[in-house]
Amino acid sequence: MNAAFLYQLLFLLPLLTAAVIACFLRTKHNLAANFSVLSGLIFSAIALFLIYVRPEGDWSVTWLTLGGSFELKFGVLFNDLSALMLLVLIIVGFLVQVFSLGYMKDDLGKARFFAGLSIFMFAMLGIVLADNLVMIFIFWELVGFSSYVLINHYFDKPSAVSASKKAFIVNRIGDFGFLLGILFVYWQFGTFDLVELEERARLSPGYLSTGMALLLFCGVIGKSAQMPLHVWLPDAMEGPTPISALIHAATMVAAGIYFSARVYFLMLPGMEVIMWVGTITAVFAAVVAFGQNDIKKILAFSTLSQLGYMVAALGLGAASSLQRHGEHAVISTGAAVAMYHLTTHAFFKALLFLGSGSVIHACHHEQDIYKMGGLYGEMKITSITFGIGVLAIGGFPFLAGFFSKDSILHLAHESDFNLVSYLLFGTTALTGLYMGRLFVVTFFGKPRSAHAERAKENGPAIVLPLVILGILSVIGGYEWFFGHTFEAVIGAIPNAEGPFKMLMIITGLLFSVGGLIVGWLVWNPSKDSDTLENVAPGLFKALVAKLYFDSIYDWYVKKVQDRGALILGFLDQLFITGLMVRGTAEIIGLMGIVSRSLHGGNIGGYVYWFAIGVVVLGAIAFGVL
Amino acid sequence: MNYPQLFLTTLPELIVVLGMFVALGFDYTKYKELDPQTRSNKVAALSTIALMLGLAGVVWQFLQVTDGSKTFSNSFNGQVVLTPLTLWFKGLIFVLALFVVQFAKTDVPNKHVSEYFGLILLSTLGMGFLITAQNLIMLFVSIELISLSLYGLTAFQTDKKFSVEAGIKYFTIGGVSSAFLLFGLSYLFGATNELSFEGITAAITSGAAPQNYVLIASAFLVVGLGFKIAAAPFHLWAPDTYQCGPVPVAAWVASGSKIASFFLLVQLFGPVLETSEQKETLIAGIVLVSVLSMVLGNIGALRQSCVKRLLAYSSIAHAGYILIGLVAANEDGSISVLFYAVIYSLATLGAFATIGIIDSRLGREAQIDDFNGTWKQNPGLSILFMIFILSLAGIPPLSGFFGKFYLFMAAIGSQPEIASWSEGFYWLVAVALLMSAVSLFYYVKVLKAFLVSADTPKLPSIQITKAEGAGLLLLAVLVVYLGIYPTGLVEFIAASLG
Amino acid sequence: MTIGLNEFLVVSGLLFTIGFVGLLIRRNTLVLFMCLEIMLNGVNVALVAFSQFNGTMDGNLLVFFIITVAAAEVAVGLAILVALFRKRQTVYVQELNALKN
Repeated sequence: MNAAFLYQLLFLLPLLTAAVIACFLRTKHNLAANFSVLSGLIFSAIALFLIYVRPEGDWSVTWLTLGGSFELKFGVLFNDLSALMLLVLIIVGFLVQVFSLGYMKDDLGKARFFAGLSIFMFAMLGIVLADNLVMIFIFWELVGFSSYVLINHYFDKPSAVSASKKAFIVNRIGDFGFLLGILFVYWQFGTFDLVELEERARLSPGYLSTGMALLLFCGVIGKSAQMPLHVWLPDAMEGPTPISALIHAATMVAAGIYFSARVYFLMLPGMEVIMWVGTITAVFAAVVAFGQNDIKKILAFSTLSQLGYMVAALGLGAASSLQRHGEHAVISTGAAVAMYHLTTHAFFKALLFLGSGSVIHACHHEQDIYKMGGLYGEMKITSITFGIGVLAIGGFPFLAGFFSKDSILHLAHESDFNLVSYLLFGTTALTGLYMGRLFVVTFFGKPRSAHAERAKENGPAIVLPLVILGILSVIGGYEWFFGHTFEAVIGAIPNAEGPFKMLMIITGLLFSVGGLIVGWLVWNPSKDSDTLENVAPGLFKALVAKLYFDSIYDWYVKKVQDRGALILGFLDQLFITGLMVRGTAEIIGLMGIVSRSLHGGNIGGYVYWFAIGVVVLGAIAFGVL
Repeated sequence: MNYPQLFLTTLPELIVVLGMFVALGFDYTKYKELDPQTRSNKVAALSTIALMLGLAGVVWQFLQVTDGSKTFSNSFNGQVVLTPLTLWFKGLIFVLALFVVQFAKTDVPNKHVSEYFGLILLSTLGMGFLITAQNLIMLFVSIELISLSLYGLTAFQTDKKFSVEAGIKYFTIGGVSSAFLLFGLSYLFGATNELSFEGITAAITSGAAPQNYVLIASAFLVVGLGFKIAAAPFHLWAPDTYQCGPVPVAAWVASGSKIASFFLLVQLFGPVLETSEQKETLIAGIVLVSVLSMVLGNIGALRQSCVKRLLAYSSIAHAGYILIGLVAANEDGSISVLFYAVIYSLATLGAFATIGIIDSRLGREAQIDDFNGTWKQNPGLSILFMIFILSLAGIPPLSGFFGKFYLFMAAIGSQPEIASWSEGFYWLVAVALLMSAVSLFYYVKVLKAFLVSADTPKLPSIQITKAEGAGLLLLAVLVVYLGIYPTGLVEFIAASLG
Repeated sequence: MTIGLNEFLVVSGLLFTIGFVGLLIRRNTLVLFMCLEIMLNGVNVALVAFSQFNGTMDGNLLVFFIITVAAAEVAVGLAILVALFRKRQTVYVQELNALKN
């Protein structure tokens, strides 16, 4: 079969689904949901065929020509890297759709939700397959927008609306740098096309610069929620839980990592900064996670922390260790490792989020872990799969998370940055601990609220995806799982050998199981309140406030930006009605042209503005300025 | 003079003039006793018919010109030149006027209905002539025709306290700017001894014209036209006019008059900027105006709570973005300016029209808070408004994004050999992008208001008329379509300019 | 001395400037309109001078249009002014500051 046709089908399917739902099925909620899942099934089947069979053929059409001097293509660049990302997208995407059938069963906006989901799949597909930077940017914005819409799902809640606004604006701040970076790339290399870019970057590396890399990285900071633009992700948990699993854990937030891997050759000069940003985010988020009581917020911070690991891995993979695949370097070591962790993380984090969704659904939308407790008895499957997720993220040996984390730490260990190595290593311990706290407090002890007492295990639509993701979280890290399909990526991952490997196994065991045990001891599930809160209330308060980042931004917007606008307005007024008129009048009075009591009104003031403009332009015209 | 030729050249305008007189006479017929709303519907229908016939005339001319069977090139003694490009833009003006008439008819500002629509038609004529003008005399007369009708329209809402005040401000500042424009034109004439654009361009590009005269002329022209496009620091009339005049008029000022002015700007400055010896100086001046507009417009919009005023500031900022294309001083620059002017006008017309509908149902000026919960009451209207606002904010794949993207590409592409940050226009693009990030704060503020549910929604469920609904829908479709497939328009402009 | 083009241009520039300064400092709207007229007349002087010294009639042609349009402009302006006076009982610009930013 011709690949071009399949690509077209792949792009059209989710778009058509959304259109059909929007036009015909707005009020027929169940039909819309089933239709959407069916379309998701076909979508996944086509994608699987593309990934594993790799039919011959490209697809690229000229989308626009602007003024004859440059043209934009809408095309597909399919290689092992995009195949891997596509695999993650369809697995998590499809499972989340199935899960949503159960989770959103009684939701009034079900049709809207599934339409949004389809739009998201379309946009994400665009990022995965795009063959040029502008197309990536467009779909980049489109995922941002669909995320905005989906966070907004419960728009009756003012907090959800605020969260979506925040996510949108913060992302756009990152995108400001991103677009600037893309234009910079075009300016230097004269093309947007990824293949051509790689060629030209290889031929004339002199055009690469740290500035370019960091501008592009701005987009990654925004989308993958790195410090200091991480503030939107915890708030984005206001959206429905399946959305958190798909968009804000597994795929969209990972798009930044994927993008960096895709254009790793442009990012090379900025690697050190990238590494530090990732490391700091990883540590910061892990610490703040201790101060959260909302089950989804804890997972959000854990996502931040893991994304930090991926970004750090990107930075750690130095240019010298480029793996050669045939003629061209397909991907750098760091990018390969980051993608590896992205994949396993997608499995276990989606599992954890969907597990939390199962819990939240059972507890009638209660999200505070101190209002849960004792759920193990009633919700065995959810508990066990959640436990697997906890162990996987903690790095329990031979689960998915172990292998990928292992390779990141290996990379850090091999590098010259000891501090980074220690920090990342230490954060693994923190990860085990906060996940232990979450697991213990949520599932054990006695129920701490009426909702938790009445909680029952959910139906198959919710449980089945959990089981599948649980299995993937176990097997998703082995090389045989990936086979040779993603050779260019998986083959580039360095394997730890000998004593370091042993060290990893021992510490993995120690941190994951130890985290659970210490978690049990410290946050005794029979207690009703947080131990840390009782022992160190000051610290806990700071953690609850997420170390005051949001407050700083709020302060900035309120006190600096708004006040700046206010001052500007005030100056405007002052200028028009006061100083300007008076001042000029006096000068004129001094010159004896007119008497002293001259006032202008508003019109006069406006004309003054005019006059200033004229003077300045005149000055420019005559070469004074 | 070849009268049949002249007749055919001005056929669309003649039809509209005829329609205008019929509309003007309407209040003096037996229908004068009817209530204003009924009369308004009838006069609007008359105007619509006139505009449609006029549009048909334009389309006919366009077809004649494009297949080459007839040229109108030397008609009217070279005052008016009909090319595919000018005809296309004239057609666009007529189409936009059609929209404006539909939006205007539901809420007439006072009982003099005939004059209201008559003035709208007159300003449409002026814009059409300005686009086809190829001579300073025609240019001057059509600019004045636009301005005088718009002054009148702004002051039309006599029952509102501030409408007349806004009118007199618009008039005074507009008068000053016209004087500046004329002063510039007089020096342009003095320098080149020509009144036709062609002759002027030739004289300047060949270097025959005295440079100091050209410089004075350009500086004054920038001032005069800066007013027309509401660029800072000549922008202060815009917020008052947009806020206090009738909303359809504000929409018309922000869309039609902008397109016409930018078209003129490109025609006058395009060739001069590309070749003149004074290129550097002129560009420096325009860069200054552009940066000032972006900064003052965007920051000014942040603190507005009245949506119309907010849009007014945003339009100042957009004038700043568009000037970036002019700064590029190459063919791409000119194309991108025209392209952006078109899509900006479509989106802003839609946004103003939506606000106009809401204002008229609310019976007062809409503040941002008034929109709370509109999504629940009026989902269709909200989605359309969202499309317009997001396009203005430049979110892909809506047309606003491509417009901006193209402007920026043109500016960067104009000096590819420059390798440092401070030279070239990369920094200007950076400022523009930064400012468009700032702009998101207020655009999203408006969107948020639409979504937030109020305990008691201030807006009732809104019934929009069929004409309004169709107009808004069409505008939204155009905004989306030009975002997904801008090539057609861009290539057409490129081919016609080249 | 012979009066050349530059002398005319100086007069024209002076007229224009006087008009503009008048706009800046006078507060009666009627007077502002007069100032606008003075500015336009400055332009007219320049055009006629250019026309004379360049040896074509084109500039004079434009002057006629300017005079005509200026009359129309004043008519519109006065109409708005009358409406304003009915509404606000004032023609002084400093009292027209109801529109705040």
